Amino acid sequence: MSQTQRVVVTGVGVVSALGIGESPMWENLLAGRSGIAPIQAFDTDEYRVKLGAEIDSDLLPALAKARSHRRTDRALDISIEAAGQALEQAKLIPEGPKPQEGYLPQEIPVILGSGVGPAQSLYTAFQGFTRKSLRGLRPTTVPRCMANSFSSGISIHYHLTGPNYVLASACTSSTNAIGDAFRKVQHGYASVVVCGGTEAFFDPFYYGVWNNLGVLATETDPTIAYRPFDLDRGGCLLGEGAGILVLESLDHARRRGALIRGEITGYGDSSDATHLTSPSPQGQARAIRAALDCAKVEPTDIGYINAHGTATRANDESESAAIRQALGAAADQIPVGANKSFFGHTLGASGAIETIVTLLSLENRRVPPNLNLDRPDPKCNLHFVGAEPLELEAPIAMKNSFGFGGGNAVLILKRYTESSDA
Amino acid sequence: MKRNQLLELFGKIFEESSTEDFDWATVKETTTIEELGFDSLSVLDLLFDLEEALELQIAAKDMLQIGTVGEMLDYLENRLATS
Repeated sequence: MSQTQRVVVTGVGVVSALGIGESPMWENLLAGRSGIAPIQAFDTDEYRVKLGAEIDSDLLPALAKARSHRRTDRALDISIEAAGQALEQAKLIPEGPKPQEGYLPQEIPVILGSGVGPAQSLYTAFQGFTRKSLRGLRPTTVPRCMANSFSSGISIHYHLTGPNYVLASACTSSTNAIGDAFRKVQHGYASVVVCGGTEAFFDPFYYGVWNNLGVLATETDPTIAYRPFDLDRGGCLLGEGAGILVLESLDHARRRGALIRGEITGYGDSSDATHLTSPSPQGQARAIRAALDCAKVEPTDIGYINAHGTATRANDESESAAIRQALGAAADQIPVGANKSFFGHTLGASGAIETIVTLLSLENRRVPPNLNLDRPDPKCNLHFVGAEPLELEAPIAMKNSFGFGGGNAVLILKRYTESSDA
Repeated sequence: MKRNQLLELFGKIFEESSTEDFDWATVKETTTIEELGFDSLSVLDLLFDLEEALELQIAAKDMLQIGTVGEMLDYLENRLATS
């Protein structure tokens, strides 16, 4: 345990408004097709905000059935699916339906992030209680509404017997979860960890509280509504999704002959300790510097930044300043991309989904375009990816996540090549 | 409600909540609740869904004693007849 391990990614799974699995997601990203659309889950007549990025609900029953998973909470359902994709890809479970006798036990931890928790179950419980008082509460409300229902659900379904827990740090949640998993593998506490995040909260109540917060875009044209770093940005739009990664020590992956999708080389985290919702460039810059130090890289080594990029006034200005503070003049040359105009802001799942995008960008040597970034805000003085995909030869990228509550988390990712396989 | 209607209702609840490979078209009165994929936790959800649909109150201890589809139909018929 004294020697640190290199940490590689051997499986990814994703469910989002861009489709089920990484292939449709990647195709849609490169084609510039966004998942933002008028909300279908409930009537938005009384809402200022009309748009969001929803998963196609018609697909979910078949997915649950294919995984032999009894449907419970939507965010759990999609995390089970995404975890299944990642575990199959990592060849840790057989492809196809769950074996009749169940999966063999494997001592693998499950660390998930979620800012909201099981919103659908909570909303169902609220509705039942309002309608029928105690008689309206389903007997399984407690296990359905547990914040850790996601990690425990994955652990039980796939028979993963390492520790399981959920980290809650708003929009930083799943990046913290990946960072925690990274450290577990790096320091030898586990050879393999399943990590990531999940969110599904498209109900009249939860969307309502965001509607009233005043940070969502009220533009009704889905093709132009979500515009990170643009001068005319009007705020964020929410999305639902799950992103799951299998992290593994390089030695373990090589012994198994696993397909290596990329490497995580650094993680940094910090707190602003200033304000509940107003971000601090200083706090964010500390997380960026910590990640660079951890990865033992210089600012000039970074070839792409996958930004948090929420498109709120405060975030985009603060993040731009933080990148400038931490990277200095190197920031002049580093292309910055923001994916939330495709996925919506998937809150606690956003870090995991966008980390997967960053890994695919390194692997495929192409970066998805920025949507609706027609006039970059002069206060966001960065070098942005344009409206077309960008070639990416540089092997190292950075993923930022910043959350309400002042939590900041940054990952450094590297393209895996045989030659770097020291 | 007739026995076949109760079976149909049970099937509808099963189809909406279960992911088991069990083909409802092959269900028999001797099929066990366990064979349908319900366990001690999920059977409580079945209880809740039946209560909702039939406007009955069903004690959990009664539900946990029911072993087969036929016993479930017997129980529900009796409860509906006396309610």
